[in-house]
Amino acid sequence: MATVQRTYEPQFSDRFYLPAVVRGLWMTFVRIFRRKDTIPYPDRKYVPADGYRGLQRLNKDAEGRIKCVACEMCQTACPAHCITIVPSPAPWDEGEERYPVQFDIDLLRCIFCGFCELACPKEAIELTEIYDYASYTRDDLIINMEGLLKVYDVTSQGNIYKRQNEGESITIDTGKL
Amino acid sequence: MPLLKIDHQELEVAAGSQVLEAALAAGIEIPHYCYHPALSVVGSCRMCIVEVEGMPKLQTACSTPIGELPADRKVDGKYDMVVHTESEKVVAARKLMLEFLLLNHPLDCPVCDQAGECFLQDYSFKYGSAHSRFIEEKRVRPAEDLGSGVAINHDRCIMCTRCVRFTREITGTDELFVMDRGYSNRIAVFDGLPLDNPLAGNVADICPVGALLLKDYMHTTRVWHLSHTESVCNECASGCSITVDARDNKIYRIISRENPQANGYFICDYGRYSFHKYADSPLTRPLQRTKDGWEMIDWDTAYRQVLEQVQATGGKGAVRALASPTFPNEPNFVLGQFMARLSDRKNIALLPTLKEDDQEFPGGFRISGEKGGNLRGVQAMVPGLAAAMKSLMRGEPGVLIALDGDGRAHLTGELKRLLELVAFKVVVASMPSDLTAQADLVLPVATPYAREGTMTNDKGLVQWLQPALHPAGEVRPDWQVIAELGQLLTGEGHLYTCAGDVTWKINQTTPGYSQITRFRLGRTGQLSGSEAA
Repeated sequence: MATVQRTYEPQFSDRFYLPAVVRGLWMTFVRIFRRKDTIPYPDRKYVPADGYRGLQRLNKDAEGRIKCVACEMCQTACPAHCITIVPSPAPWDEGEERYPVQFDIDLLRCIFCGFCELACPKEAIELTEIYDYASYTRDDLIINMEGLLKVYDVTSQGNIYKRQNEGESITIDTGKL
Repeated sequence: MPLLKIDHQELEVAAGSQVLEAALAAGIEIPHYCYHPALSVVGSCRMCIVEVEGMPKLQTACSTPIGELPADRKVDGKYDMVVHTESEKVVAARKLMLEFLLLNHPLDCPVCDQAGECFLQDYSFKYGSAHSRFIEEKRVRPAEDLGSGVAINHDRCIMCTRCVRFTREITGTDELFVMDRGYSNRIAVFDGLPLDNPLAGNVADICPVGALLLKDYMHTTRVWHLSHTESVCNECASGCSITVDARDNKIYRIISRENPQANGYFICDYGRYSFHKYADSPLTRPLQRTKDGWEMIDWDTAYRQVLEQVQATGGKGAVRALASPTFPNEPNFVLGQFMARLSDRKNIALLPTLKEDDQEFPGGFRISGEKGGNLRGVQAMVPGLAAAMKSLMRGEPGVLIALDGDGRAHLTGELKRLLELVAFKVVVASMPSDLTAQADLVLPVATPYAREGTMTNDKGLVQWLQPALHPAGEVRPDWQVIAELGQLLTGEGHLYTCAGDVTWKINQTTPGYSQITRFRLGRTGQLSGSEAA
C-alpha cells in the first residue's frame, strides 16, 4: 500500500483560507492595469511573426507577369502532393519561355511545411502570413493560379494583419476563396 | 586477344575495339557526350578522357583502339593496356572539361525539358565543380526552329555533333552542319533547307543535353513524373521497340528503345507521334446502329444481338471473320480457333491494310511499307489465311466479325463488296474509322498503347506489348472480346484469364512459336519459327 507523505503541514491560518482569497483578489486587481496577453479577435487580428508559414502566394515580376516558370520543382518537393501544375509555352516573346496555365494548391492537403518555397528556383512561390481562410466547402479550399496571384496583390504591400489593425480595410478576395 | 586492365578490372577484348566500348560493355562508367554506338567516332567532347599507362597525355577513351603488344613489352608482364578512369589527373581534367562545356550554359534547368535526363546535369553533379570561374558575359543566342518539329537552343549546345553525324550517316540527308568556327560555331541548317526527314525526331533523343528538343513535347511535363512502359510500335511491320512515357493515363511522348534485333537505336517520326491519333475520342462503349445514328448499349445486349443476328441470318456456318494485322497475335489466334470450330477456317480472311513502298535509309534503318504491323503474326496464328477474300463471298449473307484494330483498315473494292454482301457487320475496334462507320455493331477494345499481348514483326521477331494506359469506359481487352464472341457462337467456354494465357496456348499449338513464352520474350523479344534455329 502506498503511503502519502506530506511535506507541508497546513497551519491554522491556512485552514482559515481568507488570507489566500484576499491575495488572489489582489493579484486580479493588479493584472487589470498590466498589458493584456489576449486579443479581442476578430476585432483585432493576431499578427504572426515574420517567417510565419500560412497561405501561399505566386509572385509577380517587375512587369506584373507571373514569376513562375512551371518547372514543377515545388510539386516534386511537396510531401503532401497538394500542388497541380500544367505548364505551357509562354505567350510573351521576351522573358521566360515557359509559364503555368494551371496552378492549383489543395489547401486541405497542404501541411504548410514550406518545402515549395525552398525548392523554387525563381522565388515565385512564397508562404504568407494569412491564416484566416476557412470555408464551408472543400471545393473552395482548392486555390487556383488566379487566387494565388491575388494573394500576392494583397500581401505584397506589407503584413495584412498589421494593416488591418491600423484601420486599413483589406478583403482577401481570391476568386473562390 | 589483348588483355586490358581498366582500374581494377581485367578484360579480354577483341583487338581494334575502342577503350570506351570495352568499358561500357563491362559496365564501367566513363562519362561521354559525343560517342554514340550507332554513329562514327569523332572524339570532340573530350569528356571520356582516361589515363593510359605509357602514354604521355590523357587519351579519349572513345578513339583509343586496343591492340596487342609484343610479349616482351607487356605492362606488368601480362597487360596490353592499363587504363585508369579515376586517377587524380583524370578527375581534375574532367572537372576542367565540364567547366569549359558549361562556360556559356544559361543554367536554365527549370525551363529546360531535358532536365532530369540531361547528361550535363548528371555529370556536373558527379564529376563537375559547383562553381564556374567565368566572370565575363555569357553568350546568348536565340532559339531556332530547325523543322520537322525539332527546335534548337544554341545556348545549351555542347557541340558534340551527334545530330550532325546522325543526318549524315543514318538518314543520309545531310541537313545539319556545324556553322562557323571556334567561339561562334553552332549547329545550323541551310536557308530554305530545314530538317526534313522521317527520322528527324531522333536528333532530340540522341542529344545528350537540352539543345535539341521536340516541339511536341516541349513544356508539357517533367520527365521525372513520367512512367516508362516498354512497348512495341505497331504502325508498320518493322515492329520497333519503344518506350511509352505517360503520366496520369495520358501519353506525353514515345521514344526509341535500343533493340539490335528490331530497330537498332532509332524510331521514325510516324511511330513517334502516332499516340496523338489514339488520344482523341477512342471508342468507350459498345455501339449499335439505329435508324438515326448510334446508340450506346452494354456488353450483354451487344452479345445477345450478335447471337440473335447469327440465328436470323444463315446460322453459324455463315459467320465470316476478318483477322487483322493491326491487332496483336492473341485476339487473332482466338479468332482463328473459334472460326475453325464454326466453319473449318473456310470463312476467315485477312483485313486489308495499306501497303506502301519500304523506306530504307543509308544507316540501315527501314520503315516497312506494310502498315499492318502484325501481318506475319496473323499469318502464323491463322493458318491458310493467305486465301483471298473471295472465299467469303460465297454462301448466304451472314454475320461478319471484323477486327479493325485502330482505324487502319484499307477499304479496298473487295472489302466493300464483302460489306455489301453480309447481312450484319460486327466490328471490333478501338477507334472510329471508315469501317466502323459501316458497321451495325461496334465492340470497343483498348487502343494500341493500352494493349497487352505479342506482336510479330516482318523479320519474325516476337515482342511483348505492355499496356501504358488504362483503357477508358467499358473497353475490354481485345483477346477477351474475341474469346467471349467465340464462347457465344461455339457454345464452348474459354479458359483465358489474361493475355498471357493466350500466349501460352499459342506457344503450345502454333508451329514456330514453341520458343515463345511471356517470360522468354524479355525486353527485346524472341525470333519465332525457323529463324530461332
